[in-house]
Amino acid sequence: MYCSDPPHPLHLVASDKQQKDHKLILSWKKPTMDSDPLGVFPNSPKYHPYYSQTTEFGGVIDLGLSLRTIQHEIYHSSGQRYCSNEGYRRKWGYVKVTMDGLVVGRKVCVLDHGSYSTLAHQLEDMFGMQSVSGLRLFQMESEFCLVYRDEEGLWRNAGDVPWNEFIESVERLRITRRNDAVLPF
Amino acid sequence: MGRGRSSSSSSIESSCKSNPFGVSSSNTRNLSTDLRLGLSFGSSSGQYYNGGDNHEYDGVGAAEEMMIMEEEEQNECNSVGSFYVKVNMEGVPIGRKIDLLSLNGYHDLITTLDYMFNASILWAEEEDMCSEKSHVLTYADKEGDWMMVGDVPWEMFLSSVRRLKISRAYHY
Repeated sequence: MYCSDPPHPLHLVASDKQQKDHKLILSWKKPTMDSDPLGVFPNSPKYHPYYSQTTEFGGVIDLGLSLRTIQHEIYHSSGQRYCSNEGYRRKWGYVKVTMDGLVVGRKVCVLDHGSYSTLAHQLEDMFGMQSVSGLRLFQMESEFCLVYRDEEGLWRNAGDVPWNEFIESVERLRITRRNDAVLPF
Repeated sequence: MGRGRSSSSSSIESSCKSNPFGVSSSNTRNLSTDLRLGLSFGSSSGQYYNGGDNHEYDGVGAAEEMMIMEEEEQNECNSVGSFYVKVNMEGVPIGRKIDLLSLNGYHDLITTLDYMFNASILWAEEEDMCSEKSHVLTYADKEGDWMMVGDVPWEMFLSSVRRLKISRAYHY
Protein backbone atom coordinates (compact mmCIF):
# COMPACT_ATOMS: atom_id res chain seq x y z
CA MET A 1 0.00 0.00 0.00
CA TYR A 2 1.45 3.30 -1.12
CA CYS A 3 0.07 5.37 1.72
CA SER A 4 1.30 3.11 4.46
CA ASP A 5 4.88 2.87 3.26
CA PRO A 6 6.38 6.37 3.07
CA PRO A 7 10.16 6.81 2.92
CA HIS A 8 11.74 7.80 6.19
CA PRO A 9 12.71 11.41 5.29
CA LEU A 10 9.44 12.06 3.51
CA HIS A 11 7.52 11.04 6.59
CA LEU A 12 9.25 13.67 8.67
CA VAL A 13 8.48 16.38 6.16
CA ALA A 14 4.90 15.31 5.70
CA SER A 15 4.33 15.00 9.41
CA ASP A 16 5.71 18.44 10.09
CA LYS A 17 3.76 20.13 7.33
CA GLN A 18 0.43 18.53 7.99
CA GLN A 19 0.00 19.21 11.66
CA LYS A 20 -3.14 21.18 10.96
CA ASP A 21 -4.78 18.03 9.71
CA HIS A 22 -4.34 16.10 12.92
CA LYS A 23 -7.86 16.79 14.11
CA LEU A 24 -9.23 15.53 10.84
CA ILE A 25 -7.05 12.46 11.13
CA LEU A 26 -8.50 11.56 14.51
CA SER A 27 -11.85 10.89 12.91
CA TRP A 28 -10.20 8.36 10.62
CA LYS A 29 -8.31 6.46 13.30
CA LYS A 30 -11.37 4.72 14.68
CA PRO A 31 -12.55 2.92 11.52
CA THR A 32 -9.00 1.95 10.70
CA MET A 33 -8.42 0.43 14.09
CA ASP A 34 -11.80 -1.27 14.19
CA SER A 35 -11.44 -2.89 10.82
CA ASP A 36 -7.82 -3.91 11.26
CA PRO A 37 -6.86 -4.14 14.94
CA LEU A 38 -3.78 -6.17 14.05
CA GLY A 39 -2.62 -3.65 11.48
CA VAL A 40 0.22 -2.55 13.71
CA PHE A 41 2.11 -5.83 13.53
CA PRO A 42 2.73 -6.06 9.76
CA ASN A 43 4.32 -2.64 10.08
CA SER A 44 6.84 -3.78 12.65
CA PRO A 45 9.82 -3.34 10.27
CA LYS A 46 9.14 0.40 10.49
CA TYR A 47 9.59 0.45 14.24
CA HIS A 48 13.24 1.43 14.10
CA PRO A 49 12.93 4.60 11.99
CA TYR A 50 9.95 5.80 13.99
CA TYR A 51 11.63 5.00 17.26
CA SER A 52 14.70 6.95 16.17
CA GLN A 53 12.54 9.94 15.38
CA THR A 54 10.90 9.77 18.77
CA THR A 55 14.13 9.62 20.72
CA GLU A 56 15.59 12.48 18.71
CA PHE A 57 12.82 14.78 19.85
CA GLY A 58 13.57 14.43 23.53
CA GLY A 59 15.35 12.16 25.96
CA VAL A 60 12.67 12.73 28.56
CA ILE A 61 10.23 10.37 26.85
CA ASP A 62 10.28 6.92 28.42
CA LEU A 63 9.88 3.59 26.67
CA GLY A 64 6.16 3.31 27.32
CA LEU A 65 5.36 6.67 25.84
CA SER A 66 7.63 6.05 22.89
CA LEU A 67 5.83 2.83 22.08
CA ARG A 68 2.50 4.63 22.19
CA THR A 69 3.77 7.41 19.99
CA ILE A 70 5.06 4.97 17.40
CA GLN A 71 1.62 3.51 16.89
CA HIS A 72 0.04 6.91 16.53
CA GLU A 73 2.54 7.97 13.94
CA ILE A 74 1.89 4.87 11.88
CA TYR A 75 -1.81 5.67 11.69
CA HIS A 76 -1.20 9.37 11.21
CA SER A 77 1.06 8.63 8.29
CA SER A 78 -1.46 6.72 6.23
CA GLY A 79 -4.41 8.70 7.52
CA GLN A 80 -2.91 11.99 6.52
CA ARG A 81 -2.54 11.08 2.89
CA TYR A 82 -5.94 9.52 2.66
CA CYS A 83 -7.72 12.43 4.32
CA SER A 84 -5.68 15.04 2.53
CA ASN A 85 -6.67 13.84 -0.90
CA GLU A 86 -10.12 12.41 -0.47
CA GLY A 87 -11.43 14.95 1.96
CA TYR A 88 -10.51 18.02 0.02
CA ARG A 89 -11.47 16.78 -3.40
CA ARG A 90 -14.83 15.42 -2.34
CA LYS A 91 -15.71 18.44 -0.29
CA TRP A 92 -14.54 21.27 -2.53
CA GLY A 93 -13.78 19.90 -5.96
CA TYR A 94 -10.64 22.03 -6.13
CA VAL A 95 -7.47 20.69 -7.74
CA LYS A 96 -4.08 22.29 -8.23
CA VAL A 97 -2.95 23.43 -11.66
CA THR A 98 0.67 24.07 -12.52
CA MET A 99 2.24 25.06 -15.81
CA ASP A 100 5.71 23.85 -16.66
CA GLY A 101 8.20 26.65 -16.16
CA LEU A 102 6.05 28.62 -13.73
CA VAL A 103 6.65 28.69 -10.00
CA VAL A 104 3.19 29.76 -8.90
CA GLY A 105 0.27 27.39 -9.32
CA ARG A 106 -3.46 27.97 -9.37
CA LYS A 107 -6.52 26.08 -8.23
CA VAL A 108 -9.66 25.28 -10.19
CA CYS A 109 -12.93 23.72 -9.13
CA VAL A 110 -13.61 20.90 -11.57
CA LEU A 111 -17.16 20.63 -10.24
CA ASP A 112 -17.89 24.13 -11.53
CA HIS A 113 -17.44 22.90 -15.10
CA GLY A 114 -19.58 20.61 -17.18
CA SER A 115 -17.13 19.85 -19.96
CA TYR A 116 -13.54 20.04 -21.07
CA SER A 117 -14.18 23.17 -23.10
CA THR A 118 -15.23 25.34 -20.15
CA LEU A 119 -12.24 24.10 -18.19
CA ALA A 120 -10.01 25.05 -21.12
CA HIS A 121 -11.51 28.53 -21.07
CA GLN A 122 -10.71 29.02 -17.41
CA LEU A 123 -7.16 27.77 -17.84
CA GLU A 124 -6.79 30.14 -20.78
CA ASP A 125 -7.75 33.03 -18.53
CA MET A 126 -5.30 31.88 -15.86
CA PHE A 127 -2.27 30.92 -17.93
CA GLY A 128 -2.92 32.21 -21.44
CA MET A 129 -0.75 35.28 -21.03
CA GLN A 130 2.32 33.06 -20.69
CA SER A 131 2.27 32.36 -24.43
CA VAL A 132 1.92 34.83 -27.29
CA SER A 133 -0.61 32.61 -29.02
CA GLY A 134 -2.44 31.45 -25.91
CA LEU A 135 -2.83 27.88 -24.73
CA ARG A 136 -5.49 26.67 -27.18
CA LEU A 137 -5.85 23.46 -25.16
CA PHE A 138 -7.45 20.45 -26.87
CA GLN A 139 -6.79 21.99 -30.28
CA MET A 140 -4.65 20.15 -32.79
CA GLU A 141 -2.31 23.04 -33.55
CA SER A 142 -1.65 23.91 -29.89
CA GLU A 143 1.86 23.54 -28.53
CA PHE A 144 0.46 22.80 -25.07
CA CYS A 145 -1.40 19.83 -23.72
CA LEU A 146 -3.19 19.22 -20.47
CA VAL A 147 -2.31 16.20 -18.36
CA TYR A 148 -3.75 15.12 -15.05
CA ARG A 149 -2.72 12.90 -12.16
CA ASP A 150 -5.38 10.36 -11.32
CA GLU A 151 -6.28 8.68 -8.05
CA GLU A 152 -3.61 6.04 -8.62
CA GLY A 153 -0.91 8.67 -8.98
CA LEU A 154 -0.54 8.13 -12.71
CA TRP A 155 -0.25 11.04 -15.14
CA ARG A 156 -2.70 10.80 -18.04
CA ASN A 157 -3.65 12.91 -21.01
CA ALA A 158 -6.76 14.96 -20.31
CA GLY A 159 -9.61 14.52 -22.77
CA ASP A 160 -9.29 10.78 -23.32
CA VAL A 161 -12.14 9.77 -21.03
CA PRO A 162 -15.65 11.25 -20.72
CA TRP A 163 -15.87 14.36 -18.58
CA ASN A 164 -17.79 12.65 -15.78
CA GLU A 165 -15.11 9.99 -15.43
CA PHE A 166 -12.42 12.65 -15.56
CA ILE A 167 -13.78 14.67 -12.64
CA GLU A 168 -14.06 11.49 -10.55
CA SER A 169 -10.39 10.64 -10.84
CA VAL A 170 -8.52 13.92 -11.38
CA GLU A 171 -6.36 14.96 -8.44
CA ARG A 172 -4.01 17.44 -10.06
CA LEU A 173 -3.60 19.20 -13.39
CA ARG A 174 -0.51 20.20 -15.32
CA ILE A 175 -0.09 22.24 -18.48
CA THR A 176 2.89 20.95 -20.38
CA ARG A 177 4.41 21.50 -23.79
CA ARG A 178 3.32 18.90 -26.28
CA ASN A 179 6.78 17.68 -27.22
CA ASP A 180 7.79 17.39 -23.58
CA ALA A 181 4.73 15.33 -22.77
CA VAL A 182 5.72 12.63 -25.24
CA LEU A 183 8.86 11.71 -23.36
CA PRO A 184 7.43 10.52 -20.01
CA PHE A 185 4.85 8.28 -21.63
CA MET B 1 9.08 49.52 -7.00
CA GLY B 2 6.87 48.98 -4.03
CA ARG B 3 9.56 49.15 -1.38
CA GLY B 4 8.03 50.61 1.76
CA ARG B 5 8.90 51.35 5.35
CA SER B 6 6.82 49.32 7.77
CA SER B 7 4.90 50.90 10.60
CA SER B 8 6.82 50.71 13.86
CA SER B 9 3.68 50.55 15.98
CA SER B 10 2.54 47.45 14.11
CA SER B 11 5.90 45.81 14.69
CA ILE B 12 5.79 46.50 18.40
CA GLU B 13 2.24 45.25 18.62
CA SER B 14 3.19 42.07 16.81
CA SER B 15 6.13 41.46 19.13
CA CYS B 16 4.07 42.00 22.26
CA LYS B 17 1.42 39.59 21.10
CA SER B 18 3.79 36.74 20.35
CA ASN B 19 5.80 36.68 23.60
CA PRO B 20 3.06 35.71 26.08
CA PHE B 21 1.98 32.81 23.90
CA GLY B 22 5.49 31.40 23.94
CA VAL B 23 5.63 31.39 27.71
CA SER B 24 2.11 30.04 28.05
CA SER B 25 2.60 27.15 25.66
CA SER B 26 5.82 26.18 27.40
CA ASN B 27 3.95 25.68 30.66
CA THR B 28 1.07 23.93 28.95
CA ARG B 29 3.42 21.42 27.35
CA ASN B 30 4.66 20.08 30.69
CA LEU B 31 1.15 19.58 32.01
CA SER B 32 0.00 17.89 28.84
CA THR B 33 2.95 15.54 28.79
CA ASP B 34 2.18 14.31 32.29
CA LEU B 35 -1.45 13.76 31.41
CA ARG B 36 -0.58 11.85 28.29
CA LEU B 37 1.91 9.63 30.09
CA GLY B 38 -0.80 8.49 32.45
CA LEU B 39 -3.19 7.65 29.66
CA SER B 40 -0.78 5.85 27.40
CA PHE B 41 -0.36 2.61 29.35
CA GLY B 42 -4.06 1.98 29.82
CA SER B 43 -4.84 2.92 26.25
CA SER B 44 -2.17 0.70 24.79
CA SER B 45 -3.43 -2.28 26.72
CA GLY B 46 -7.00 -1.61 25.70
CA GLN B 47 -6.20 -1.28 22.04
CA TYR B 48 -4.19 -4.45 21.88
CA TYR B 49 -6.84 -6.65 23.44
CA ASN B 50 -10.17 -4.90 22.94
CA GLY B 51 -9.70 -3.36 19.54
CA GLY B 52 -12.66 -1.07 19.15
CA ASP B 53 -13.28 -0.01 22.72
CA ASN B 54 -14.85 3.36 22.04
CA HIS B 55 -14.73 4.66 25.57
CA GLU B 56 -10.99 4.31 26.02
CA TYR B 57 -10.44 5.51 22.48
CA ASP B 58 -12.31 8.74 23.17
CA GLY B 59 -10.05 9.36 26.14
CA VAL B 60 -6.98 8.99 24.00
CA GLY B 61 -8.45 11.23 21.36
CA ALA B 62 -9.00 14.00 23.87
CA ALA B 63 -5.41 13.83 25.06
CA GLU B 64 -4.17 13.81 21.49
CA GLU B 65 -6.19 16.88 20.63
CA MET B 66 -4.71 18.72 23.59
CA MET B 67 -1.25 17.78 22.41
CA ILE B 68 -2.01 18.85 18.86
CA MET B 69 -3.38 22.21 19.92
CA GLU B 70 -0.33 22.71 22.09
CA GLU B 71 1.96 21.93 19.18
CA GLU B 72 0.14 24.43 17.05
CA GLU B 73 0.57 27.10 19.70
CA GLN B 74 4.23 26.40 20.22
CA ASN B 75 5.13 26.16 16.56
CA GLU B 76 3.20 29.08 15.19
CA CYS B 77 2.56 31.36 18.16
CA ASN B 78 -1.15 30.94 17.53
CA SER B 79 -3.92 30.44 20.01
CA VAL B 80 -7.65 30.14 19.64
CA GLY B 81 -8.76 33.24 17.77
CA SER B 82 -5.53 34.16 16.00
CA PHE B 83 -3.54 32.67 13.15
CA TYR B 84 -0.28 34.43 12.36
CA VAL B 85 1.64 33.67 9.19
CA LYS B 86 4.86 35.10 7.86
CA VAL B 87 4.81 37.52 4.94
CA ASN B 88 7.80 38.39 2.80
CA MET B 89 8.02 40.67 -0.20
CA GLU B 90 10.53 40.02 -2.93
CA GLY B 91 13.33 42.56 -2.70
CA VAL B 92 12.46 43.57 0.85
CA PRO B 93 14.74 41.92 3.44
CA ILE B 94 12.49 42.53 6.44
CA GLY B 95 9.50 40.22 6.81
CA ARG B 96 6.23 40.76 8.59
CA LYS B 97 3.59 38.67 10.30
CA ILE B 98 -0.14 38.98 9.82
CA ASP B 99 -3.06 37.51 11.74
CA LEU B 100 -5.33 35.98 9.12
CA LEU B 101 -8.16 35.36 11.59
CA SER B 102 -8.40 39.08 12.26
CA LEU B 103 -9.29 39.66 8.61
CA ASN B 104 -12.70 39.41 6.99
CA GLY B 105 -11.58 37.94 3.69
CA TYR B 106 -9.42 38.38 0.64
CA HIS B 107 -10.17 42.07 0.10
CA ASP B 108 -9.23 42.81 3.69
CA LEU B 109 -6.00 40.81 3.27
CA ILE B 110 -4.99 42.63 0.08
CA THR B 111 -5.76 46.05 1.54
CA THR B 112 -3.76 45.29 4.67
CA LEU B 113 -0.73 44.07 2.74
CA ASP B 114 -0.90 46.97 0.27
CA TYR B 115 -0.65 49.25 3.28
CA MET B 116 2.01 47.22 5.13
CA PHE B 117 4.38 47.05 2.18
CA ASN B 118 3.30 50.20 0.36
CA ALA B 119 2.66 48.06 -2.70
CA SER B 120 0.01 47.45 -5.31
CA ILE B 121 -0.68 43.73 -5.15
CA LEU B 122 -2.38 41.50 -7.68
CA TRP B 123 -4.44 38.47 -6.72
CA ALA B 124 -6.58 35.88 -8.47
CA GLU B 125 -9.81 37.83 -8.69
CA GLU B 126 -8.11 40.81 -10.32
CA GLU B 127 -5.94 38.91 -12.75
CA ASP B 128 -8.52 38.81 -15.51
CA MET B 129 -8.60 42.59 -15.63
CA CYS B 130 -5.05 42.76 -17.01
CA SER B 131 -3.97 44.82 -14.05
CA GLU B 132 -0.78 46.82 -14.27
CA LYS B 133 0.18 45.97 -10.71
CA SER B 134 3.74 44.82 -10.39
CA HIS B 135 3.44 42.25 -7.60
CA VAL B 136 1.34 39.15 -7.10
CA LEU B 137 0.34 37.59 -3.79
CA THR B 138 1.25 33.92 -3.42
CA TYR B 139 1.10 31.45 -0.56
CA ALA B 140 2.90 28.25 0.37
CA ASP B 141 0.41 25.55 1.26
CA LYS B 142 0.86 22.59 3.57
CA GLU B 143 2.42 20.57 0.75
CA GLY B 144 5.01 23.26 0.09
CA ASP B 145 3.58 24.36 -3.25
CA TRP B 146 3.38 28.06 -4.06
CA MET B 147 -0.09 29.03 -5.23
CA MET B 148 -1.70 32.32 -6.18
CA VAL B 149 -3.98 33.70 -3.49
CA GLY B 150 -7.68 33.95 -4.20
CA ASP B 151 -8.65 30.91 -6.25
CA VAL B 152 -10.36 29.02 -3.44
CA PRO B 153 -12.93 30.06 -0.82
CA TRP B 154 -11.47 32.04 2.07
CA GLU B 155 -12.16 29.26 4.58
CA MET B 156 -10.34 26.72 2.44
CA PHE B 157 -7.46 29.17 2.01
CA LEU B 158 -7.16 29.47 5.81
CA SER B 159 -6.92 25.70 6.15
CA SER B 160 -4.12 25.45 3.57
CA VAL B 161 -1.94 28.54 3.93
CA ARG B 162 1.39 28.24 5.72
CA ARG B 163 3.09 31.49 4.67
CA LEU B 164 2.71 34.34 2.22
CA LYS B 165 5.01 35.90 -0.34
CA ILE B 166 4.55 38.97 -2.50
CA SER B 167 6.29 38.01 -5.73
CA ARG B 168 7.22 40.18 -8.67
CA ALA B 169 4.49 39.75 -11.23
CA TYR B 170 6.72 38.83 -14.15
CA HIS B 171 8.40 36.01 -12.25
CA TYR B 172 5.39 33.94 -11.38
